[in-house]
Amino acid sequence: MRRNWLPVWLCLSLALLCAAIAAHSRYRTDMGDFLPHAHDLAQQALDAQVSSGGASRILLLSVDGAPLAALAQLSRNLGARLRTNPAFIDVLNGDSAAMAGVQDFVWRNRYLLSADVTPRQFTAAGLRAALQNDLSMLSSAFGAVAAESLPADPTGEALGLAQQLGGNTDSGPLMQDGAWFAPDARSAIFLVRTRAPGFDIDAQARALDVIRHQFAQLRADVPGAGQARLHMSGPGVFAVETRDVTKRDVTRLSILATAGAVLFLLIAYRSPRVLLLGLLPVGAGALAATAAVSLAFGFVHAITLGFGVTLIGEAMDYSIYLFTQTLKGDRADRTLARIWPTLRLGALTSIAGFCTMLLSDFTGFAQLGLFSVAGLVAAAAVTRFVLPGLVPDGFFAAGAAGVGAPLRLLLRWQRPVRGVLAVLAIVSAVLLATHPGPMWDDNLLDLSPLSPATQALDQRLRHDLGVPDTRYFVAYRARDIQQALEASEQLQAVLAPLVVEKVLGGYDLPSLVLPSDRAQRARRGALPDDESLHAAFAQAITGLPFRPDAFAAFFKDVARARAAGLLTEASLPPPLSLRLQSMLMRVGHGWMVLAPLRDVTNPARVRAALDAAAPKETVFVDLDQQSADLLHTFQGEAVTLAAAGSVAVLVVLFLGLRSLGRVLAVAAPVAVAVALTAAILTLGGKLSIFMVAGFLLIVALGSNYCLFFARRGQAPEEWERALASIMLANLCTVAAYGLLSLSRIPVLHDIGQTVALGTFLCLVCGAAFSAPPAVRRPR
Amino acid sequence: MRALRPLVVIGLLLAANLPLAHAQSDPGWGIGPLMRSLAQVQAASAVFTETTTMAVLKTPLQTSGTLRYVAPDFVRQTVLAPSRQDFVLRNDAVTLTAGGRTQQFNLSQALPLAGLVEGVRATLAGDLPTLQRYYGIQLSGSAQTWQLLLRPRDAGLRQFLSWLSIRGSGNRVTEIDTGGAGGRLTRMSVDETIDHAS
Repeated sequence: MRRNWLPVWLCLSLALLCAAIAAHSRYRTDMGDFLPHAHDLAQQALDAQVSSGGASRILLLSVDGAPLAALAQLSRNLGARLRTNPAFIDVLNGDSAAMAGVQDFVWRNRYLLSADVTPRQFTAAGLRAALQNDLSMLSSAFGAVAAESLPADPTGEALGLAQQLGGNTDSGPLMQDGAWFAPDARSAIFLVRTRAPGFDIDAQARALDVIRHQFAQLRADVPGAGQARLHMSGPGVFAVETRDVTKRDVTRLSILATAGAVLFLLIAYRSPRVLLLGLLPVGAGALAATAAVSLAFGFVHAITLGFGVTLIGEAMDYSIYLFTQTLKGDRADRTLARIWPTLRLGALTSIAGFCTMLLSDFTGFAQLGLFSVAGLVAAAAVTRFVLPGLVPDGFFAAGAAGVGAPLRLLLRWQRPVRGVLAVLAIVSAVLLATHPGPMWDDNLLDLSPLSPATQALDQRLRHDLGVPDTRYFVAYRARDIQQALEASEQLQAVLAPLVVEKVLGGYDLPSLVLPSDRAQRARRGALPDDESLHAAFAQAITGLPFRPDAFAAFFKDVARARAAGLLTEASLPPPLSLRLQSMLMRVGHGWMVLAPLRDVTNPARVRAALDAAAPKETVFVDLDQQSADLLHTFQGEAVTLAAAGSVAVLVVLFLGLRSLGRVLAVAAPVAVAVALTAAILTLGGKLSIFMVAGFLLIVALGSNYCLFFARRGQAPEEWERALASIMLANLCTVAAYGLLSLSRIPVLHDIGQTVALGTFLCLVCGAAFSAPPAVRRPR
Repeated sequence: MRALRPLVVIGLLLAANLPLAHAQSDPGWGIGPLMRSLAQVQAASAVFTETTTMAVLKTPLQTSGTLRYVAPDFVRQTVLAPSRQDFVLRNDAVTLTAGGRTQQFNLSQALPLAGLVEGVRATLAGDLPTLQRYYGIQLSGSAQTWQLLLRPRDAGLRQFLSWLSIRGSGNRVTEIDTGGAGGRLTRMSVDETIDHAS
């Protein structure tokens, strides 16, 4: 045969171009990029927290398995070592060295930071009241502490600030031998903040390695700590663990799955070369799809890549249909000409189904849609124009001869099988229609690949360390940082009474860390000049038992504060800077403030107080509610897209088949299979969002089976080969996805289970309902 | 020289007041029996007078008021003169009311305070493990007149509190003295009445 090499060269150059684009694409893993574009403030708050919030940088460590004294020393040594590493902003383990930088900053800048600095405070009367208060402090349990700072800070600014910045919490870890311990005193505990956000997985992995490495080194040096163990938790640990488990599972299972499929194909084709050729459509499809998404969106999301390759798995079947349906002595290009109308209609129905996803305003769904459409177009084109020319002359899939046998058996009993399936379909429909409660799994934790033990460790450490639950926030927008800080100062006036009222345990605000320029100027302006201060102080001290010459440090510090420049973000020590950044986020041209509220006992009351008195456009955000809403929207969108896709599939089928009866013959079995699959899966628990992707693939693959089952006017040997090709395609799919269902990762497990079960049921239903009775028993 | 002053004062104080360590007349008596007898006190109240001397003060500060203890963890100190002040410790929660302001916080959040307060409370409760966790302990005297000299283990605590001395007779506390930062010395005389003992 004379081969036309033009399509091959064209395909090769296009593939190289796509590969070049794919190699230069940006790949993102941020969940935020996959989610719909956030419209309102509360959604943006969720986005910000999910992708890079301050909470994502927290690591919780616990060290146990040694006597208390050894653990305490290990904790102090490890803390000191980690503090010198730039990967960590904050290492809190009870060691006062951790807070030294912040304490020093607060002490030096107390007159700009403290809201108590008013002109009144520095009059003779104000100073006298402060000194009288000092006297009573000196004789109280605080006396020992107050005595140290008194000569420089008689108005007590630093003490007030320490309380304010400490978060007014009344829960904190147990202190033992200069280190924090869990309440049972068996494990030393740490709170670490990493410089990298929790979802910079590589940086997190490096930070965790540093901790492990340092721990192992130090453990050897501390007597009695030889058996000590280190436990770590937090978003970064989860991200790394999830990635590692996923990587392991994906590698192991995809090798197994590929091996399974390859085994079947090798038996059928008896030609490694043809086997490799069979990968051409799906490979070309993946390349083209990645390039298309990258060009259209500017980046490719990792989830798009993962799910997308699954969704274009249909392309694998194209080559199976071509190779297996080639008759003995026939040529691949003639076979293709024969089956192309059916193959084309199969590809077009899938493309139509996925096209509806392009309309979604979920970036992730839109990317998936484009990926699938571009991938299938490329795969179909390669199958049509490139593949036939590459198949060796005289190729015949000799090993596939017996593969169709189970289908022939099924066709022999078509009538009873139809009856059984019809009954099962009705039962499934009833089961689904009368399903008690929600069918969708709303528990986000069930979607998480973390083991219950890992989640329990996290819960325990969070409790022991008093890390607040970050469920409630106050959010508002601001034009610039100064406006954000001024609004924050107004907000404090609303929140402080709620703490007294005990509906709120505490809060953090940007202005607690960095007051607005306006407030700082007012405070600086409230400080009197040296002469006036001396005069007022002399008057204030009269009759009190203080030595007048004991307060030189006070006069010096006030004079210095009067001349000091205003504090800016750059002035803050790293822990406070991080704290500010975690509350201030850039959104578009302005800023969003996200201030965490702790221990909210009465959300309704807090919401009402904010609505009544807070600066306008301030919203109370319940993160749990937001993520539940988001999941619902996600599910709703997925179901809507699936429904719209089904309609598109039916329309394309009708345009291709031009007969309602034939459309029904193809669509009905797929519908029955989907209903059966859904019913079986709901019997085993709730449906997860991941299963939707599985259902899409069932429809895409199953409709192809049914189209081939429903083909008319084939010679008996052609029909025989068609049955073999459908069976072989299904065997490969069930083998591959069945193996995926063994994974511990919910997404892999759910998709694997759904697709393996659903496509098998499509095969059975297709044979029962689509295959024409006239050729039921070919000879 | 100024930094040395507290040390000199402490030295003088120790030399003047402390009987020699381990000069115990009763061979069966020691920290164990003392703690056990203190642990029997279920509830006690007292009146106190306290003298505070400090570098910043021209004249010592005199205060007086009442104390209340209920086993195992409730302590209340009410200063009545010269100005009213109320300090309540229940479990680990501290409430301080002074000058019309009430502050609440947790002991674990305030190490210097925790050390001092636990020293007194653990002595009242006869809780030796807690006492040992915070302090090096030196006991002297006899069951009739004993003195516990407590030195903070933690360097952070030592910054504020150099030592804490508790004197007593039988299961009653008679004097609580401290020495600390800024040359601060306090001497509190306690007249304790045991309301209930097991």
